[in-house]
Amino acid sequence: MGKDQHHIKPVPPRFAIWLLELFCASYWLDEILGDMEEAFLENYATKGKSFAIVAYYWTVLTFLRPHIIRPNTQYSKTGLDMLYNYLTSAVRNLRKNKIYSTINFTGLSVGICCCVLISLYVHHESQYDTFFDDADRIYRVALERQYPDHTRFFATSPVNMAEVLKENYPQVENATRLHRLFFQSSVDVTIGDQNFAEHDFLFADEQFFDVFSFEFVEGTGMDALDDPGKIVLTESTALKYFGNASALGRTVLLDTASFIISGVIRDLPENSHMKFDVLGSIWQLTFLDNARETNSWINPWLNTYVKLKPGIPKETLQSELPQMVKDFGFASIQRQLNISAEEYESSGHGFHYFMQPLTDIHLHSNLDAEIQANGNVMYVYLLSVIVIFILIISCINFINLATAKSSERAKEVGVRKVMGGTRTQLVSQFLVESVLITFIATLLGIVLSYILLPSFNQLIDKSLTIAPLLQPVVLVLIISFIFLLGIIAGLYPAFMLSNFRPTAVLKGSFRTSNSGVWLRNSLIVFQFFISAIMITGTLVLNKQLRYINKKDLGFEKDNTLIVRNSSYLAENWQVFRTRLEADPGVDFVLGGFGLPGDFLGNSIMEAQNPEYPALRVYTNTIDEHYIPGLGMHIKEGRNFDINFNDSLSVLINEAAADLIGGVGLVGTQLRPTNTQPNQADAYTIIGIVEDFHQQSLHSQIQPLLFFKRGEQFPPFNMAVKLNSNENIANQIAKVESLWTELVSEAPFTYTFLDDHLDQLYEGDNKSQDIFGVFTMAAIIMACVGLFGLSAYVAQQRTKEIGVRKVLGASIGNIILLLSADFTKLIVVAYALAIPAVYYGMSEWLDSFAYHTNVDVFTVLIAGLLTLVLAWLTTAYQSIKAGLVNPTKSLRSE
Amino acid sequence: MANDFLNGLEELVLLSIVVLHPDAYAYAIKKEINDQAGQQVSLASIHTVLYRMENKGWVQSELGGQSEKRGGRSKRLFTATSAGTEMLKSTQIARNNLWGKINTI
Repeated sequence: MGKDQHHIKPVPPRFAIWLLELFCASYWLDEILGDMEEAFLENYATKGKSFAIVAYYWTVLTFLRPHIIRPNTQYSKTGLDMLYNYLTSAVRNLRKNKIYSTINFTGLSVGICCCVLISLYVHHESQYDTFFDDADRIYRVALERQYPDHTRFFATSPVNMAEVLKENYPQVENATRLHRLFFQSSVDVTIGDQNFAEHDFLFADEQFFDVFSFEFVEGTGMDALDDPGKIVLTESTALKYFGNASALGRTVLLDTASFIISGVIRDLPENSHMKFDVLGSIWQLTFLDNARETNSWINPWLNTYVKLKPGIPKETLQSELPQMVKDFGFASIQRQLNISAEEYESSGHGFHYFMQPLTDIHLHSNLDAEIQANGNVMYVYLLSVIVIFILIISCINFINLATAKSSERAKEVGVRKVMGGTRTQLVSQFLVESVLITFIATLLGIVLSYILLPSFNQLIDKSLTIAPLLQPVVLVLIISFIFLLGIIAGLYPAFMLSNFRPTAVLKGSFRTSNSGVWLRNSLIVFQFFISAIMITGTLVLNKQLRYINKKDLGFEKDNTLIVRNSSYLAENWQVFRTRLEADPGVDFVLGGFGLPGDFLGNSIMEAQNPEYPALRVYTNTIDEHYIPGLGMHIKEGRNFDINFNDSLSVLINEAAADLIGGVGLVGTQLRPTNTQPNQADAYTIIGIVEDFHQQSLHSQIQPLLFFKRGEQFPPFNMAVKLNSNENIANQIAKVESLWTELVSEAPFTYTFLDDHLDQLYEGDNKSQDIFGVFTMAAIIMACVGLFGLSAYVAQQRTKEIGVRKVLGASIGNIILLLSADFTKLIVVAYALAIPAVYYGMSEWLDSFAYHTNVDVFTVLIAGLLTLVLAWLTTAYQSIKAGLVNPTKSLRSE
Repeated sequence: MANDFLNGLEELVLLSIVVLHPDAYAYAIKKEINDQAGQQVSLASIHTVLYRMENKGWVQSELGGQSEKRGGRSKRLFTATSAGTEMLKSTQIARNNLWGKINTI
């Protein structure tokens, strides 16, 4: 087609050509384009324009073949070279700015270390009981017990429920029962002449090993507990008892009865909500046997676990539970309470059972009569939030320092641009650099967390291992985390730096942009916002725990030695008491069923006066030394007295008196509701005891009733109030020697009342420690970041400071000048933090029935602390800047 | 290469190169195959075959023959090497031998 022709020569689509050029090797390009143009012109002439264009595009696509696609050897070579170059310059930069690199690495690796530790903890907490086979279809049946005036939740259920569920509900594959002794903290095990006090002693029925998969070292799960006389040990317990010898079939004494060891199982992993060293048969407990025989549905004695058949949702069984109570429980209510079940229900009582997934028990269940204190999902959430805070703070440090340093890197960027560096290359350079830093920091952080893990374990009282980190999934996560964090942290500096105009930068007229300052300032505000929250939070936490320690509990907890298992004293118990009382170092010897902080049973009492409502009271059985010995006060009436026959007398506390609601209650008669009226065992109130905290300050003071204990049996627990002037260690030794003289079959186990009470706040103390540590970490990191930043600001303003000094500014002026900026930011941060803290901490404090308040003073102290910390951090740099001789700072240009 | 043999498309392309000599370039070959065998073969497939055969030493190529209808771009002109012609011949002989053994179809 010649140029003289009138119509315009058709041209192949440019975009298609561009596409082809994009990937086609230059070796082929020319001829292919030629061939294609030839084809295009022919198609155009014969089949029309659109066909030609579509065919052209199609042909381009068909050329996507390995031998035609440009081999990118040349490109990748430069890519690798450049990567090497980036790494070199990154390393040089890190070496050049030692402070900057140290701050970056410490900040990030401490942050990552915290993150690893907390993640391990959170992982551990969330994996409870998942190691059981079929854990996803095992549930615990728990009870929502409704009383006319309140509701209580029990982890326990009636003794016969397991059988009822298994026999009458086709959804249930199996059901089992588990029981822990509520009123006893340990069981004594005797092997030959050795005594052991076992604290983790549970009781289960014969189905237990069918529901829960345990690995047997000796014996089998089939017959392990099919007889009341059998018990199962864990491997480490067997080792403790018998060394390496086989334990199977050997006999041990529990208290005085003998039992045969029918199996040894592998130790349970730590992350189970049930923890036991010894497992007995529930049928050796006579009260459970009785409850079974009488088919009692009133007392929730034990934990019932059901294993549903595969694929059955829990709702199908849960929805049938109300009917189950009617069908199987009402008869018992009628028989035992002498009241028709319908009447009982309409008076406001109710038994609502619900099912808890096995794996949720540890974190989500906090009911009465749990097997052991469970974890609290709130702490897990809170720690997760804290760890995110810490990570954010360390990322902010990183971003802030990088943007601050950017003016120094500006010249480098300028030179690179002049040498032909593209923006993409510069962005990738800075991203490579920040990924490198994150990579190194992550490695350091993981190593650090490995080193700190034992201390962390001590802090949280667990034995976590680093093992979960080594799973492939986690490794992949860690690596993606490195890249993600590196890219996020590096993104802003990368784009900002690569945006510099080389002429401006190289001419020296470069100034940090205002947007950079703005971003930096908001990030600092955010960091100190978080720090302020954490500082205030820690202070309030501290204050509450101090409050708990100082709060008048209504009794004296000091110098009180609790002698556990005093029933072992048997007929010698009075000798024990008399001999101790004769000791001038002993003020009181008292005995009772439970001491403050112990678990108490309860019963329902009804006053003789029909105007008074029936009341559910906790009950304790004590001797006449209990009240004065623990420093409790009688508000009205009198204490138990050996000069009276007090076997039908009771003392009540103020809460119970308030509940009954009358005045002049002394002399009123009370009767347990489950006895026949003609049984003449009505109790007379002889005194009212001032309220004291039987339970932790988390709960309100409950109505409580004291019976007088009979002298013929030894008390369940005894306590010895020591004279505070005596040497405590000597006194303990004396009591112990007396014990060993009188008791041969059980060791002397004792604790102090104040330690015993501290256990009630173990969770709170532990969380205080954990928060303390991580708050410190967060604050240190915020300060480290501020330190780096103040160094940078001081350096940027060197000339300004020089000029100011020449004009007569004092060092004090300079320090003020430099601190003022940061102070403003911190004040803003603090102002923002106050409402957040106030709200959050009030919520937490409300979880205590008795609590202190978030007051202005605490908030101010926290604010001042934040400010002082910030000042101290910036002071070094400010003073250094203020001291520089202006001749030096102004000389160079 | 004793074990090597021409596949169908290779044989067609190689034959076309011989037929079209001295003006055998990819697009011309494509058209020739289209005309003679009635097969629509994509330009890219022709290229792949040419590339492969050049690597095997059956054809060789040189650039030349720019023209207006190609937008002033050169052609890659292919010629069969002696190895290529040998290959064609032996394929044909083998084929003839086989045909000779068939009595009826």
